[in-house]
Amino acid sequence: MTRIKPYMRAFDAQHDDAFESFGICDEEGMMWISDDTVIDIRDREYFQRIQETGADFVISDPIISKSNEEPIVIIHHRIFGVEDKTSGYVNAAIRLSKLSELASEVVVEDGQGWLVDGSDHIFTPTQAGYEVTELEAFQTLGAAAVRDQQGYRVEGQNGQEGRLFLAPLKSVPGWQMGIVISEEAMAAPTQKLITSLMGLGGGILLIAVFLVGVIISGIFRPMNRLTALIEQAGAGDLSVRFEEKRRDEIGRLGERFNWLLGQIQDLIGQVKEKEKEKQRAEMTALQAQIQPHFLYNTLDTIQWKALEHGADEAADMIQALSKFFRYSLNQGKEWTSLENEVQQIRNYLFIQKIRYEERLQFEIDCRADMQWEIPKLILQPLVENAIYHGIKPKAKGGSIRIEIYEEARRLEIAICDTGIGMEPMALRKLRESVAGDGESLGVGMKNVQRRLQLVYGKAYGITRILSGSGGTRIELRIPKRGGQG
Amino acid sequence: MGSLRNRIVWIVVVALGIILTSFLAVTRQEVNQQNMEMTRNLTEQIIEAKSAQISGWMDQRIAEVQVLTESELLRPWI
Repeated sequence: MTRIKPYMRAFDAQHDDAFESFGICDEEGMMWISDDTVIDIRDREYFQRIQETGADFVISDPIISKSNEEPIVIIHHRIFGVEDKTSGYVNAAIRLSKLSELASEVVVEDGQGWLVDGSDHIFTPTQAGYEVTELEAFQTLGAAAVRDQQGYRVEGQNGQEGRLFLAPLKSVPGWQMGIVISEEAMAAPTQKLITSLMGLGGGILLIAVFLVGVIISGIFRPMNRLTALIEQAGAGDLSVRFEEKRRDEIGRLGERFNWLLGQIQDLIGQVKEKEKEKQRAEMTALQAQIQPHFLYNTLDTIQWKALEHGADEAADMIQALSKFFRYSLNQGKEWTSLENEVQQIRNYLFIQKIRYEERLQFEIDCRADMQWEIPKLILQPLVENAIYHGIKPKAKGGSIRIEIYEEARRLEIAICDTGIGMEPMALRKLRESVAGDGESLGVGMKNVQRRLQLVYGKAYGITRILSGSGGTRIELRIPKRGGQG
Repeated sequence: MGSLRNRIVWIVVVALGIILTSFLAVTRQEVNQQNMEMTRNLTEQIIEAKSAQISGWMDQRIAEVQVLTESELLRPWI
């Protein structure tokens, strides 16, 4: 023993880093320790266990060193003597602080390792925030059962969630290394990936919006230009044109816009031309009005001269002619009252009566509102036809009867003569001519028909032409409508 | 929102937003599920490796003690 002690002390000194002390124990459990103390370990759990199991060595659960109060773990190893019989034991105390250091060096994410012994006691410091030993499952099921549920969910003191992982230490049966990693740390790579995906998605969205904006701007730029041109044209500048040569819808729209502007310009040109013509016509009319005044004055003078010479009939004729001209001109107005129209026809027939004397008789039967406005010179061309084509060729002459009456808010007019009448063929041609289908016959009648239908529509105007050996009857229909000046 | 152009841009943005959001939501769900499972397995493997390191250290200590028990110096004591 005397030889062994220095050797053991030297061995202890060599391994001071990991071992707290070494001891030599006899079969009865009396142990000499390298610090020269002798203790009895018969009642120690590990001593009893090696005796019971017959194992080469056992490792104790953490205990407190009796020599220096330091937490230690004992490796109790059998010494084999002659014929492999146990001649004693070597007892090596490992510093628990060394194991704690080793465990704490194990760092995974935000978790730090710790060790748990075979009695489910954690004998190295656990990481802050998680009291694993207080876990109900840890207490009731034991560390081994918890280990089987790898990634066992635990809740930290601050409410943070964590996952508990346990792994066995193969060299020390029953011992396990544990570590708790917060959910946040475990999810961090996933979160990073998701953040990257979100960033990528946002980027794609931004690029898509940008591209859509560019594409739409490409479409709307010419449209906006076209809109601006339309507004410019609306403001009166018809010289603008959509100049872009495109083959798409906008190009076609631009073409139609240009075509429309061309049409509008043509129409405006036409209107302007007509306006000029109208002005020229008005000028001519104004100039012509000077001549009628001269004509009326001259006719008045002739009338007075005729009266001075006792030619009363000539004077009446001149007066009637003067009135006829005045009415015909009607101060340039297109519309006149029924009263004026009837008076006009009376003047006309009075003049013709003087010419044809007893060969021409006439009668005007008017039973209508005399203030009815109608286009002027409706009756005179028809009466003139009746005289020249009906009465005049007849040797005995004849009579003309004009009937005017109202019916269902319509003015019905009939001009009847007892002249020679018309052959059926001539009558048919006249009807066709008036209807606008045949060759142009009866210019005066056709003119009246055209004027009336322009004003009142196709349903009005000359509605019937009857003729036979007894004479001719022409009927007109005019709707009741206010004058249009 | 007045012009046709803005209306089209808004429609496209909203439609793309809905599609991308749905895509990201589904991706997030899948990635979360699969990645967490993978992370758990990896962590388990790391911890087993670390425990093997400590186990190895303990094995070394046991071997040292075993060497001591086999020392000739202990014979006379026996």
